Amino acid sequence: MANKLIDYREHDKNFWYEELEEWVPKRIYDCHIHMLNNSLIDDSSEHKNVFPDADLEGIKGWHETVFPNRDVNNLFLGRPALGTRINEYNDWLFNQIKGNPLTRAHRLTTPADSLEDIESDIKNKGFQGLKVYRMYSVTGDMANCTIEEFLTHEQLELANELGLWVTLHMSREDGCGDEKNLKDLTEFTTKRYPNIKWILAHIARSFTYRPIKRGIDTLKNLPNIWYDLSAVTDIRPYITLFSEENHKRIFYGTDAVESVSFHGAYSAFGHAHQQVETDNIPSLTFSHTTNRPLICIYEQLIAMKQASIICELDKNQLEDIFWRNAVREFNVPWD
Amino acid sequence: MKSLFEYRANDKNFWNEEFEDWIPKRIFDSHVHLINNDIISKNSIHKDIYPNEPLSKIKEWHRTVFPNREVNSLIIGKPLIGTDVNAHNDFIHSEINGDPLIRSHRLTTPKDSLIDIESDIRKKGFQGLKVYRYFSSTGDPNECSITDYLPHNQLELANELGLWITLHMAKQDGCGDEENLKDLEEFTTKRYPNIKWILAHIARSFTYRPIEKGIDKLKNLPNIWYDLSAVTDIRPFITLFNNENHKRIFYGTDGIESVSFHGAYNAFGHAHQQLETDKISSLKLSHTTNRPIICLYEQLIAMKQASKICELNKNQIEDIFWKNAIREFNIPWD
Repeated sequence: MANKLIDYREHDKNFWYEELEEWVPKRIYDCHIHMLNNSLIDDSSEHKNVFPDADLEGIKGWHETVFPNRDVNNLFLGRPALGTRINEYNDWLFNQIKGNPLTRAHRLTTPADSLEDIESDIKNKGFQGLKVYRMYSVTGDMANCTIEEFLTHEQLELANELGLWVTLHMSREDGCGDEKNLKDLTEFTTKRYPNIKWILAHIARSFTYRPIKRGIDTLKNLPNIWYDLSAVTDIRPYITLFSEENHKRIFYGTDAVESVSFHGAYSAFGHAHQQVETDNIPSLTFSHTTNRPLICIYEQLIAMKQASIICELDKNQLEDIFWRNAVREFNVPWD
Repeated sequence: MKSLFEYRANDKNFWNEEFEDWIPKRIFDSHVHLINNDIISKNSIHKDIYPNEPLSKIKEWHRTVFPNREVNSLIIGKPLIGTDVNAHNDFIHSEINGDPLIRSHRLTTPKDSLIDIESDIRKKGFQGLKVYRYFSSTGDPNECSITDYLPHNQLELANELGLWITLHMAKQDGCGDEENLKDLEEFTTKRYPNIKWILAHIARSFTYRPIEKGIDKLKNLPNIWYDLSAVTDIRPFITLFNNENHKRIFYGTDGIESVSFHGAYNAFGHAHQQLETDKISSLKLSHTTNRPIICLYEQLIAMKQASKICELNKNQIEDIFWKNAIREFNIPWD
């Protein structure tokens, strides 16, 4: 199964043993990972069959490939894809992980979802939180919407009442550096919804240096804020986060499968960033070297490793980030 | 030929946001090239791929990318295949025209006679040599050793005259390569102790690994300096600033065309390559109004951020941007 989900090459393996084998802890809790089932996406959707199915077995195979000889458990996040039949998807997710006490899940949730469905899934299917996404913004503008445009106030009220986790990929081009996003998070955490626990995905959506540099002074002083590190490959956001934040509020995550299995990175160009898939850019011939690009997940890990060295994180802090923070905060009985 | 350099509103905005208050008022550009296509042979693959760039063009470019800064330069010979080397060096000499604030390094290939080299040094004011892996006698620009493109008889002359040499190392690990390190150790400590080396592009570290591998050796060698030109990954800067004596670091651009495109020299694992964003149709950046900046500004922002991480102070930044060059090259820039 793993072979269907990733083209893992000899130099990827070599890189793991050169840089990561001795550094990555033996246990990993992946706090940002998605399962995909194309049969639950409408035929008319542009997202139908773009990526291969990834069920629990597929995810396990992927983890075994990219994290050799590591024990891995997961926080599964609903996978946002247009045309997904939300309730069916959440049922499928529930059935995939049913009965595994070491796994957690966040329910894929859109503004169109009823409070009854959300509450029922939380209470009856073991979801510990919500996965919301800007693609479902009621404005139709995923690039520049506000939080409440893809997570309505009535849903926020319910999440607050139930004390849910919410994994949030912020919109707006400055992510957590955007004043409106920061104002909303300040209001939500300190006044209006004090029981919601936020996981700000992708270092609070900092694929370049600027968002987290702008946002960190506010964020670090807010309660109920955590971060996941998924898919960020630029070292600079890590340096800012590790230097400024309490490391106990940081979770490791991958954003697997397809978002980090290509060869290349999420490269920053000034204040812009974009996925650079090196196999798909003919001009990137690397004719002067036998070195070759890595899978994106290793770009994330090497950035994280180097930032941790620069910021002088110790071994215990790294263990916390890779798995202990998640185990503690999610009450996972991983002895 | 029209200029390939396009300075956009977002470049200007980026300068004002990040650099206006940080970059010193004076800059000595220790790695910049002049181009004259008239002296490149007609059948060369490098003929007319870039516009002519006389000194006036360099000055204009500096005024654009470094607004309101005083800039002087170390002009280094431009290694393009098919160049009439003596004519190129005459062109540099003629363009500089005795300006006491400018220095130059003579384009030098393994075929150049010792007589020509010595004559240019003594009569045309070149303070050193610019050698390049393109001209390797092995024909392999990627994996050649230093002596393949700078033979021992030229090294002996350079040692005798106490010359500077700007060196862009070959071999894929650059200064992390064991043979390169062994050669530099032997040359600096034993065989050619009077040569002063400028290891271009942070000793050719466009990714983190070469300088990480090489720094413990290099920092203990005499007569080693670095230029920072064209490196856009922050990690080599951090390694260099944390481990080296900042007095051995020169600022340089590699202007004009090597750093004027929009994009960067991106690292992917241990590989790196120029990524010119305008020419990659898949880079639509449709989710943002932010746009790529010129490569030179990618270098400067990496340098700025590394300097903060490494806690360089204002005086050290001034040293790197110009004072080190003034001191080492004996430039009367009061």
